[in-house]
Amino acid sequence: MGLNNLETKIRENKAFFDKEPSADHLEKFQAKLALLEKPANIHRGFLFTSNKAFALAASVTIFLLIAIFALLESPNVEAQAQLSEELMHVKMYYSAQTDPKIEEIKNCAAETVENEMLFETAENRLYKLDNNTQILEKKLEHAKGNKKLKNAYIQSLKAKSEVVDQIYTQLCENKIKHIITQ
Amino acid sequence: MLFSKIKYRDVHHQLIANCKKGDQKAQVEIYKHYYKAMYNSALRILKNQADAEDVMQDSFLDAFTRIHLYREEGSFGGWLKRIVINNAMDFIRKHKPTNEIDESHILLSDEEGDCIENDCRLEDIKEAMKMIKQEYRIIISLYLFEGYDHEEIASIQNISYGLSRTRYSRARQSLLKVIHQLQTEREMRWA
Repeated sequence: MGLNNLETKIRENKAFFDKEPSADHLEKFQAKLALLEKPANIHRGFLFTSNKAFALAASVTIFLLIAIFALLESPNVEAQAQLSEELMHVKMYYSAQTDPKIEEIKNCAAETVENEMLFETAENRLYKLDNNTQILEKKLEHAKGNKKLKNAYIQSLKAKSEVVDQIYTQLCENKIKHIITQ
Repeated sequence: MLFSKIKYRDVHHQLIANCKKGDQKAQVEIYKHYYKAMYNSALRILKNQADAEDVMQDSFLDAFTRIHLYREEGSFGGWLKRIVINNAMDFIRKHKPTNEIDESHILLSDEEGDCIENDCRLEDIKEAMKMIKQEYRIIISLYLFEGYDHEEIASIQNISYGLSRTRYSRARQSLLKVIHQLQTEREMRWA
């Protein structure tokens, strides 16, 4: 396919078609660069695809440590049969927030191999959080009046909700954008 | 014999070496050298300026993360551009899944047309590029602006060599048609 007038004209005037990015592009890039993982943290990068995710995972770990500390420090425990009405409401609230999103995440995860891999990692994190919540719930059934335990339980539910939100944004964002633009 | 032993050295060899060590100053320097070309490559494919900027910057981050894979067998700019193009193509696939039509059977007219003398104004070409179909815009960008050949385009777009050639011809015809429409409209306004 030889070059004709159109081709020659475009190739000789490529600069005419160029544009500049936004005025603050360099600042934006430097901010992104500052968050770029260092090579030594490659393994962290594999498990947590963004620094946000890593920060979230770190805060969840800290929370788990606090929760364990709260359990160890728990004073006079009153034996009770089940969760208080207030905590049942909190549980239902967070369940209503997270359950539909988890279903949606499963659908989004099936869309690409990359999403599937992300979902596998996320599922593992959610499983650990659920496990922790269940342990706290069992403890609470026998210690209704323990404030530290109660707070730890609510924080655990909240942490799961935040993780679900973050995974939802990560996996289903493209879909959301697509729906909005339609 | 001597020449065969000389290894390719990119013009930014030292900066690249520093980038490999994770030197952020060097990374910013590299960014400053290449951002405009990479931004425009992404913009021609994506059309949207904000998306193009995001894809361009993320591609730099990808490149810095994988810079150990760049072995200076070709230019760093070429290696980087391929990352930008691939990311832009991925972006399109994720955001606007299109039903690709097999155009290999479509017969082209003998008269492919061209710009006669100075009848194709650069402004018209620029405007027409925004108006043609996405897949036409992409193939014209890859072939004419980025300088890839049809074999490379076929690999980038995951299509056959034949389809790449056919699509380019269709894209070219479509671009010329829009350019001529713009000319006619302008002439009518002046009349």
